[in-house]
Amino acid sequence: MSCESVLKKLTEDLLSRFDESVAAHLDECSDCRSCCEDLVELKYLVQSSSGKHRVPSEFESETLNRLAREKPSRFPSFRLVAVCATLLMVTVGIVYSWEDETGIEEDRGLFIAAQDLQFESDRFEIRPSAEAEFVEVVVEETPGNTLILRLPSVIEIRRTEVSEDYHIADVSH
Amino acid sequence: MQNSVVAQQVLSLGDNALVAAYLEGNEVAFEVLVQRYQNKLVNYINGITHDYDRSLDLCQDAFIRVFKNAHRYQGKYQFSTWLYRIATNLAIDELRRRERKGRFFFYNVMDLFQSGEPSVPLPDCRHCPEKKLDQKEKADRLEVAIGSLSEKYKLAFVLKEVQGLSYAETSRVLNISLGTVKSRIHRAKMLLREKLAGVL
Ligand SMILES: [Zn+2]
Repeated sequence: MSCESVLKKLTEDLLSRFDESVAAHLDECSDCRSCCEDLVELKYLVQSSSGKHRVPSEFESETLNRLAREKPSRFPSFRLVAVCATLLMVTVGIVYSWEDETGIEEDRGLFIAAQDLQFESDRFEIRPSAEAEFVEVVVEETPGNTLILRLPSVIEIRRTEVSEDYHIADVSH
Repeated sequence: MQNSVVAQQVLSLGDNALVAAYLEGNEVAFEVLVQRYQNKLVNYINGITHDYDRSLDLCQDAFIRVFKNAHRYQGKYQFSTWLYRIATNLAIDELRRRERKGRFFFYNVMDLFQSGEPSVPLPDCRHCPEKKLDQKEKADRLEVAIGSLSEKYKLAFVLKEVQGLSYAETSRVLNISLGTVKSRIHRAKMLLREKLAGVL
């Protein structure tokens, strides 16, 4: 049995009983034996040091209050709409949103960068404007301070997998 | 009195039954789920973002998203899978937001130095027992080492080994195959062994 396949088994589950061939290899090979010892140590270390944080006592009540405050999303669920903006200043706004296969919207946000303005928000609404090629994005810049951006809808952003980056695609209407 | 009887009954319900109870208007069910997962979840998010205060916010965001969308949850997954998945996405987005803003955090810097054969520069204490690290130092080194893993290894390792999810559940949370989960965890452990030479 090769060192490589022995190590694969060791990392998969240290607690399961090794079969004969793994045990025999460990008897023979000091490298794999030392690795096995380190992996046991690692497992112990992870278990003994994980979960050290406790949420503060007010966390639960704050969460409940917030849920009571926030009504279910008022906005229509849209799949990955993105707008790239050219306003009077150099402004870029990206709206991203994405649902998993169960239809649960998992991610939705707006990022705005301009000369003297940079902020993010997940509280925004997109509505049609008088001209068909533009949309209006109504966004809460800071609590109580609403901003309306008139943006052309030109690109779509897709994220395909958790580990992938955002993909930007043209969706000219 | 009656309330506490109801609370006792709710406490014994499974996760999916609690979601169903919440949808029928039982607010206590939501509280129980928050209590059940809040510490686990904040540690999970902190393990990815390494920013405890921000982790509290993201943890709250995850609960809010879950419950605002509870009516769309069909029990196809376990509740925990769904919750971890949303938390994972929020944590990843947090990392990407930082990148966009050009902020550098410790582990990003570590990654920059570790493009080739990565190893955390830790002193080798194997042969100097008088300098043996205490448990607190070991835990800190572990946190730095996990933080310096690249995203894909870190997520798989933290879900399976730190949060105690099964291979199958980790695969569903990350939406990758079981084989990929296993190989990422294998690689993560081998990298951690290197990074923690002198600590283990
Ligand atoms: Zn060997």
